Amino acid sequence: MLQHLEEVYFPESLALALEKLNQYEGAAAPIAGGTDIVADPPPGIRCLVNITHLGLDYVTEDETHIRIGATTTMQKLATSPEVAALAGGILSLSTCEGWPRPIRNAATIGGNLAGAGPYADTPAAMLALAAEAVVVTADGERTVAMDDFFVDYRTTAVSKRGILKEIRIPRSVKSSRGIFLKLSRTTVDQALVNVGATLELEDGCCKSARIAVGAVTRTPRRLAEVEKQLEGKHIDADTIEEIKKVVSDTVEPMVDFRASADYRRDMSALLVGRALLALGRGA
Amino acid sequence: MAHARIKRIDASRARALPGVHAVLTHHDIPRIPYTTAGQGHPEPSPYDAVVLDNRVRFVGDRVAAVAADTIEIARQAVELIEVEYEELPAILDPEDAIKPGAVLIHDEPDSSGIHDPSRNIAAHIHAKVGDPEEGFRKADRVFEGTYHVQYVQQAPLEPHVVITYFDENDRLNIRLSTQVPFHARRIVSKVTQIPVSKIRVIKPRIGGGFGVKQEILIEDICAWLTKVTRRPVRLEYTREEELRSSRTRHPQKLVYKTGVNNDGKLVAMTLKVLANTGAYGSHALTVQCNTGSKSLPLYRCDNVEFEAVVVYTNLPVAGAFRGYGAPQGLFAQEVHLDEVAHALGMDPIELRRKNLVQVGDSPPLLEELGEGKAGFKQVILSCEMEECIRRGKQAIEWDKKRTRPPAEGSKKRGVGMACLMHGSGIPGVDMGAAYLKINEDGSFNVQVGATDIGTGADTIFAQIAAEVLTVPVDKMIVYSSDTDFTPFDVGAYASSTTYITGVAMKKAAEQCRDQILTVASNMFEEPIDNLTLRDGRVWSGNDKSLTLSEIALHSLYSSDQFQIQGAASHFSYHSPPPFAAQFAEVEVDIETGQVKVLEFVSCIDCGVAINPDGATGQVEGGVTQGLGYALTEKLLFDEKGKMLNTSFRDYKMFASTDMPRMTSILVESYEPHGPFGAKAVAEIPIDGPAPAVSNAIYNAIGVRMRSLPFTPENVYTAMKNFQEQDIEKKQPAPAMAPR
Amino acid sequence: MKIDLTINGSRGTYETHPGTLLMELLRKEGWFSVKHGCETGECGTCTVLIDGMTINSCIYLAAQAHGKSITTVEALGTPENMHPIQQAFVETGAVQCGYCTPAMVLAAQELLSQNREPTEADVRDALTGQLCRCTGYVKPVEAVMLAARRMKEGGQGEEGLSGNREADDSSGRREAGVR
Repeated sequence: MLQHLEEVYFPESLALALEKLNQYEGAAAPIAGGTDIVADPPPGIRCLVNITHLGLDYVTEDETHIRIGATTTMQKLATSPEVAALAGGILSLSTCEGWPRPIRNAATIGGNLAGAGPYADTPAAMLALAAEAVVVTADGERTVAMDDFFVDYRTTAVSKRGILKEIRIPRSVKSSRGIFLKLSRTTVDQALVNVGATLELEDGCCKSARIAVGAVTRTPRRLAEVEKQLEGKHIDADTIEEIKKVVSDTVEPMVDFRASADYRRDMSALLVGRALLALGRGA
Repeated sequence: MAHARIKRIDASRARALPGVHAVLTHHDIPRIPYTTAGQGHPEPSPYDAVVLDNRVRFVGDRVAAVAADTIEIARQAVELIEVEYEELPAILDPEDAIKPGAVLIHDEPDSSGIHDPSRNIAAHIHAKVGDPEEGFRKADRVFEGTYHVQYVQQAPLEPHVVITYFDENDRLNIRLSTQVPFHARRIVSKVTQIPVSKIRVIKPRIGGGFGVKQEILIEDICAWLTKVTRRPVRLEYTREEELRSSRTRHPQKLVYKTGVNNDGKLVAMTLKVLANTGAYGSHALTVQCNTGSKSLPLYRCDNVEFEAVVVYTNLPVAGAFRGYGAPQGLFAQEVHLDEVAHALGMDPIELRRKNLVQVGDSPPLLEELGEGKAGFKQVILSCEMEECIRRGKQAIEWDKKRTRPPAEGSKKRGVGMACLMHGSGIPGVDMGAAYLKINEDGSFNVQVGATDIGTGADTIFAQIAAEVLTVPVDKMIVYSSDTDFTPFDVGAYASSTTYITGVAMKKAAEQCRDQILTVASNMFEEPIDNLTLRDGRVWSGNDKSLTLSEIALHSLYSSDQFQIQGAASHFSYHSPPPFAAQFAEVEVDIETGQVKVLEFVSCIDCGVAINPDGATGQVEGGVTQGLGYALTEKLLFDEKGKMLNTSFRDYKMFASTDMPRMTSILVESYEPHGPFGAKAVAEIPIDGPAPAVSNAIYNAIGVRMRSLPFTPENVYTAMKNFQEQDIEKKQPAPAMAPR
Repeated sequence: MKIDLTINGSRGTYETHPGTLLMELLRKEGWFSVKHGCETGECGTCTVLIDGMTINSCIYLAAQAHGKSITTVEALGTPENMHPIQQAFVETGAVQCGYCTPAMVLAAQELLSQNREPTEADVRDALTGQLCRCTGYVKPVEAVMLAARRMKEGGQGEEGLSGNREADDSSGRREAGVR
């Protein structure tokens, strides 16, 4: 319920948006697609700052990064050829699997990341893509690695007076092998487990790996131990079995009515295994 | 709190809030015990509810009602109502309800019709044919299995909604999303003490029902608010309220036992049910009657027993849901028979074929077990089950798929099937009436009390009347479900509308036809026997004819003026079962437990389908709900009885991309008691998906799923814990529940 | 606050509470094809087109639509002159209670304005946002496929109807009903 909402503000610039957030001292929040904040608003919101017409709707590339504006919709990402070509289409898959069209049309990448819902799909992909978030506040702009972005349940490095402006993905991962896998109860559903993985292979061996799971722990996270163990390994059946065991041993799943901890643990291992199998194919 | 007494309730601060017009608590409304079940008078459900009580019996029960200018003010007012509760122990497991010393959920002295309030038993059913114990002794082999079915919700896309207001004649108008406008009028009258003559109930186009609107759920409280404020009041459920506080399907534990000879002949069958009706006993007796009467009579067997104990718990209230007890009974029966066939080394279809009911049979259990009382003798006059099986096997390629070698990899495929029966209306109970009159242009006004809730009933009536009067369907102007302007009808339930009210419509149309011929005979000055009605004209020979418009004008304005009109009622002691065979092919991912239904075939004998598009639409929709029951839908509760999945985010129904390839075949028979040979079709398609999918899973992976639903985790866990369970009994087991 | 909206071709300024949902505003203005079903953007009965794209109006503030063009099914056709998608829904028997139908028709419109030759899988994907409890989606999918064939033959659809067509002001306004 947004019954205490006093204002929906349409700033003409990012600076004015930030000014408004400051003015409300934490009782204001940015809004883009609104699918999260309107359906399930945080308590005490008095002002929403609409940031959808500040030119933050883009997918571009410079010498170092692929840059995605925070208000780019899921639908745009899901259908963008540039995004589809990125690391095996990992991000495309994470923006459409299980999300119906009207949600994809409204929801934005910024909202999905900054909302930090535990069941969101794009965080696992972004973690695997070594993405960085560009956050602006009245004090200026800073860059936060995705690894440091998700602080806790529905809490991110974007403060209540900041705005997530852009996501940057290093061009170096563009040619990585990548995959996004999701297990859910039905085809239109939140994840029980999702996995984003990218690998760089050299002579059939893993040069580096980034593997993240979502919907399993309170915040999406990378599996550091798994990544470490993978380095230098040939991706074969034995490695995959070994890695699945590492996942089982290290992941600490949450429990909710959607799934038990045991199931989430087993499925995390399974999905990581399946991801590796797919990524190692033909290596 | 799932169970508490209201020690003190003070609404004075809420009443003082500007914009609030009324706040009602149990202090403000007389205690008139009634049932919320929208059934005929006298309702066979216990009178265990009052509009507002000094007690809450489940999380989501009523405490107080507020009428205010806006929803925001009303919400604010609710916050201002002070309530002091005395928490009582809560029963969340039906097995606990009947344990000695259990807290009593309905110990109030003014309730009536409860089977045994001192043991939390809302209803008890027992029916027996032959001597099952003797049958088990004589049978070559005896099997017993236990099956569980879960809480699910009807979930029409339109939540409950009602508007009440006094019109210019000071009569209470209730505009309502309901399946039972006439029962709503009668029951609202009872609890508001406004006479029936002062109430008009109107059902406009509504957004589905599926049984949950066969309930007097919110119209009573809305009427009370209008009564005390003298103002229009609108009450609408949110989705959360709809899931939590409306009605559900009865969860059950079913123990199915069979005595079978080595050749597959059934010698004895017993079904013992422990059912959970939740906090109130709405439809408690009658739903569970159907669990037995819509399953066991499908097979010929001399020794049959059915027993059901329906208990109260402090969980949401069960009620009517498409299928009405049959999906539960048929799940247990059709999975059990698959298990028996497997144990005997028989093809599951052959086992069924050996025992299926046939034309000319009169299943004795149907006479023993009616709805809430003894039934009536039923002779099966139409049954195309053999053909349903034959065509279904062919459509799904049964023989090929049952014998194929298992696939490589993690995804295994299997096929399974189930045989089904249902009923067409409640014999000796359901009644519908229809009225028809001609207009100057040869069009007709059709008035029926029957309730089209998206089922296409209005179209069916137009078709029936048009068929009799040989005019195009668009000549029929159908108006339905208005207690002031249409004749009585029990409403949309029990698969009765086409079968019962359809006959009333046909009779009324025939009266019109006879009057039309009489007028034409006068106009032609020829005996009626020389005249025929054809293509919307009355013909004398092949060259002279009168249009219906000419006949109408003559009868209205020219001579011997009168209104050509027909009015008729119909009820029946016969409830001919529709029959069906349903087949599923599934793919099970043995690493995740995920079950994907690849193909679903329904072959339904619903007599003559009056509207084949409408009938297949019923089949497709029923199957889809049945697949949700089988695979994804389940209401979940925490340890205090609070519902956890109160939105569609987590109460998962099938979406367009979840659907299998679907084949729905109408296998025609001719039912002499139905209009133009029709039987019912609305409910039977929901009965088979759960057992057919369970049997297909077994065929795919050799794991028997005896509990619904087959979610990925449930199947995964079942696979992990699987041991081939020996269902064979050496000794007859004692009855599950004590009398 | 004041917001500017173009609803079914008519431009207007609306005074509304900032927290008002687009669904609430549209129903208050008499566009009753926009239904309340779930409040969480799951069932899709509140679907409208905003600048040609389907949106769940129950989780979308009226204020978010400021300056945009909204199309409800009332602008697509009339009972006498149905849009090909509506005609196809009627002919295939794709409507039972009809509560999800306006939303499905709009979802089909969005699909067919972007994809003239959809596969069945495309159609199923386009309808994932609209739950239906009556039909099992069989006939609605058939209807959209039929409409696609006809619109392609008739050269309709590519430019879409994203609020550009002048709406007959009376066509969508029915007597105030229960919903």
